Amino acid sequence: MKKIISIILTFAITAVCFSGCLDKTKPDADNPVTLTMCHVYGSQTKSPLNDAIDEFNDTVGRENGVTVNVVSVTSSSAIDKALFASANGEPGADDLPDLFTAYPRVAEIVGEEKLLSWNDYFSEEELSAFRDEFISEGYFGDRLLMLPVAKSSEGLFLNKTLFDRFSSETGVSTDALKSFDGFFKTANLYYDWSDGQNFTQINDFYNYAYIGMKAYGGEFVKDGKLNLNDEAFEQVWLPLSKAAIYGGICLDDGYAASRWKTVEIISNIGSTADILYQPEMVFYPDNTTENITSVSLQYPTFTADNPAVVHRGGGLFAVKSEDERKNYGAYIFAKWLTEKENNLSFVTSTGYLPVTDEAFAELFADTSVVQNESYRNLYDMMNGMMNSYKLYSLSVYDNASDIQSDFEQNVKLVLKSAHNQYIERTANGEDKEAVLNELAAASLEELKRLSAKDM
Amino acid sequence: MNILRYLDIKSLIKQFKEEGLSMRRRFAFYVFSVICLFLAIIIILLNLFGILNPTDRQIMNDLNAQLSACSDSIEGDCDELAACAISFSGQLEQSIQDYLTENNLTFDELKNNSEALDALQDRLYDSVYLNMQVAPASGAFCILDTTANSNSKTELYSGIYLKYINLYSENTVNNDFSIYRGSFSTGKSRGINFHSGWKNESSTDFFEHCNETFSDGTHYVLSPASTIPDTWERARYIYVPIRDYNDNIIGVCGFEINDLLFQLSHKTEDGRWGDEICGLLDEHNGIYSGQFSSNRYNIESNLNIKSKNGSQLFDFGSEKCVGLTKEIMLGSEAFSVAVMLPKTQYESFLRKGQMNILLIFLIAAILAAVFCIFMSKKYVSPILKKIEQVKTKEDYGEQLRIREIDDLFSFLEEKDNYYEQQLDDLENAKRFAEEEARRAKEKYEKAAEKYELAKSEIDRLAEKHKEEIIPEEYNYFVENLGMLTPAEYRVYELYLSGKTAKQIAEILHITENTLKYHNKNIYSKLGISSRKQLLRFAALKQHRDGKEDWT
Repeated sequence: MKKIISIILTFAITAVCFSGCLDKTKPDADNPVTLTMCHVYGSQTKSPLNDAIDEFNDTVGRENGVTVNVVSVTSSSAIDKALFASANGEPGADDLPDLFTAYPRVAEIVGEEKLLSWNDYFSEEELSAFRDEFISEGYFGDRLLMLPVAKSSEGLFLNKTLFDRFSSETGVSTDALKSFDGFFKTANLYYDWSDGQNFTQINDFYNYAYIGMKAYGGEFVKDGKLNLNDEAFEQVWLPLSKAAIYGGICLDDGYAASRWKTVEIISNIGSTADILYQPEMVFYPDNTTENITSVSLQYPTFTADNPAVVHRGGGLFAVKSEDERKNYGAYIFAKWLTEKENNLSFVTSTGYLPVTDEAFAELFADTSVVQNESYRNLYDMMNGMMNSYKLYSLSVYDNASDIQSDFEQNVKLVLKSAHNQYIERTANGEDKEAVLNELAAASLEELKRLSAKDM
Repeated sequence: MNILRYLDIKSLIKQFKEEGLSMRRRFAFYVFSVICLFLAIIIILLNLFGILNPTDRQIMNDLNAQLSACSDSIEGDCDELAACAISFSGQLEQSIQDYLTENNLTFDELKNNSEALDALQDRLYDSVYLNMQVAPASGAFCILDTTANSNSKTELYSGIYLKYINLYSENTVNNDFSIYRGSFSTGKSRGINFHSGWKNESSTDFFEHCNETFSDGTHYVLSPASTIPDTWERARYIYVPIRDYNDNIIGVCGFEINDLLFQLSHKTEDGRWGDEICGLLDEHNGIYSGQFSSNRYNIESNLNIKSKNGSQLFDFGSEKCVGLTKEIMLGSEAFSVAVMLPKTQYESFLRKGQMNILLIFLIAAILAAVFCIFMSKKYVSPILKKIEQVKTKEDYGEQLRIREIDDLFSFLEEKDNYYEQQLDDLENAKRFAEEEARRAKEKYEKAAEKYELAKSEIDRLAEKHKEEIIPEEYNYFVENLGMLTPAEYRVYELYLSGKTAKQIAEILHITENTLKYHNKNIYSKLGISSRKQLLRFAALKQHRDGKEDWT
């Protein structure tokens, strides 16, 4: 009988050993997982992150049974919209993707409880490799929901070919674009020179106001609300509004890159990652084309002694899955993407900044590692900004996403209306300067009124 | 320790060789072997007749079902798109003709007339937009065989091409879209987003074979999958001709099916075999390419397909898949629909299937072993009990009612009785022999006692003679004995052996005088005076020599 029991025990121990070998919490080549992903790192023309993902899928992903399947490369606002539709189960909306890149505001849309805490997977040592100012943005309480994979700053992109043409006739040089005062004057000069073409597009008026207020010692966001009654905001607003009402600044929705292509604008202030969208050729309405060159310039300053710029760019979020293999797969991918070599290769082909101290130091120690000349020019420009500018990240507060998009719409609405009035009244012979001052002041009040209504 | 003990087969074999197998083990081993053999035969037979249905067969059955579903789905989608495209073409033909009639233009007069082309695009835009919304496509286009700039280095074609900016599901309605190809004014006047790769005119090869393609009554064409120029996307196009009133082809219109839409439309659920991949393949000179339901395979690299044991091996270069293909006709071209699993995944399931069969066999074998151990104990225990009974009680007890064993024990009992009788006889003989030996021993002991007495008497007499002999004379005798000649010594020995003078003369063939002469020499050399003294000294010497030998 003892023998029988020992045989059964032997069998039982063997069975337990076999079952122990099957770890259900980690993917492997025999039990692969596929993670769907939406991201913003690329355009419809080119997506360096897709190339990086292909490399991951073919190497580390294959070894570990993880495939990242990109289902969308789009703008952050489009991702916000899609995530909102998915999270709220709107008809026709697909499931939430397993991975997506977005700004911190998205945590509120999706629901923090639905998101994966990266710090449950990354070790303390691994997290300490990230730049503090980048990783701190991703914490919601003690949960790291947004992992930085690439960060950007803002800069001024200029169609050098057309600007040189304008410059040769007006004598305006790029030095004028170093400060916002010069920038707005140039915009108005171009408007006159080009018979009513916008000089530039400011992609985020919110960021402009945020940094401007910082430069003048104010706070754009106070107690979770826009602080438009602060005197500093008036200092920020009036030059912008005058240039926009005059006509130097584009106030339409849509991408700056499209307007570059059709020569509706010849410059724009936006993310350094906009370099990915800079066309090499422009099209004229008469179906003729022209090859152009572009340059990246530092973000214009509000005050010479206090240069400041926003650092922007969202991070990588993962939706928490009941299948632990997917969660671990997301960690494997995120870890691979933020490793020095992979991160440098990815960010330097998109105009972003690397996210770890080591990669950051290596890039700015020698920007000649960047192959493409226009990208190298961008990193040289960023290197200058990193050394002399103060970097601010946008504050996160309740309803930030809606407040931000409402502000953008209100600014465009108010200024577009004022511009039309300006055109109409000056056409009727009113004094340009007086009308401009009057409309700028009125636009400020109107903006405050609209913003107060929204809040 | 138990495991080690059971696994120590070598020592077990050695033990069996030395000690032999117990009846119980032998019985268990035979029964176990029979059961295992039986199990193996059952598995082989089930396998041969297909009843066991191994994993490979199950996978192929499921892939086959999936293949039918995918083929139907792809054919259905293509039919729907083709129907939309034909309707789309009809609308465009009417609009173009209306425009040309209203403006008193011929189609040829549109060339290099950018104003007219802009106006025409403006009129066609709504048809393109509405058909893109209606059809399950990622984009819609109408491309006309004319251009606003015939001086361009590359051949350009005027037209409108709208694309969705992004897709989240196969339901494409109400997604944001952009103008990918089309005049600047068309896009600008409607406030449409311009695609990153926007250009005002297309350079396509749609028209290269258009006339031949559609001359035989072909309703629509599905193009091979290729990269969309100026983008990172890949797509197929389903297109139909746009004709004028004279039935000349003046353009094409249709829809774009990009990889993402194909993925979303034909995504396969995570089945029991994990991620199944569905693909629509086109073949060119034995090399395949196509669109797949997993983005992982939607790459430009070419694909080789090899047939193997009723299934196909899909070689993507960096990765291999196993699956099935089915040929379908889309338009007038043959395409292959494929359903597959990554080879590593497929092999993993095969291994699991084999492990399952092995596990079942193992469990059956273990149960059989337990059964054999139990049965062998049950079967052999009466015999062991009987042996024990025999050992302890020296009695064969009751019968087991197992005929062979009862016969064996009866036979053993008879033998036992016979050997007991023989043993008794032998013991009697032994007792008799022992009695005889005891008697002989007693006799011997008495004789030995007499011998000792005699010997001690001789010793006593020798001692007595010794006391009568003068030592100096005896010593002289002993010392000079070596002085005797051989003839004299021979005579001396004969005296000692008790021979008389006459007998000595006869033995030595000598005369009595010669004997006397020898006697005289012997006496003088040995210092003796009589034959009696000679014999006494000789006896003493003999006695002493004998004692020396003994010591």
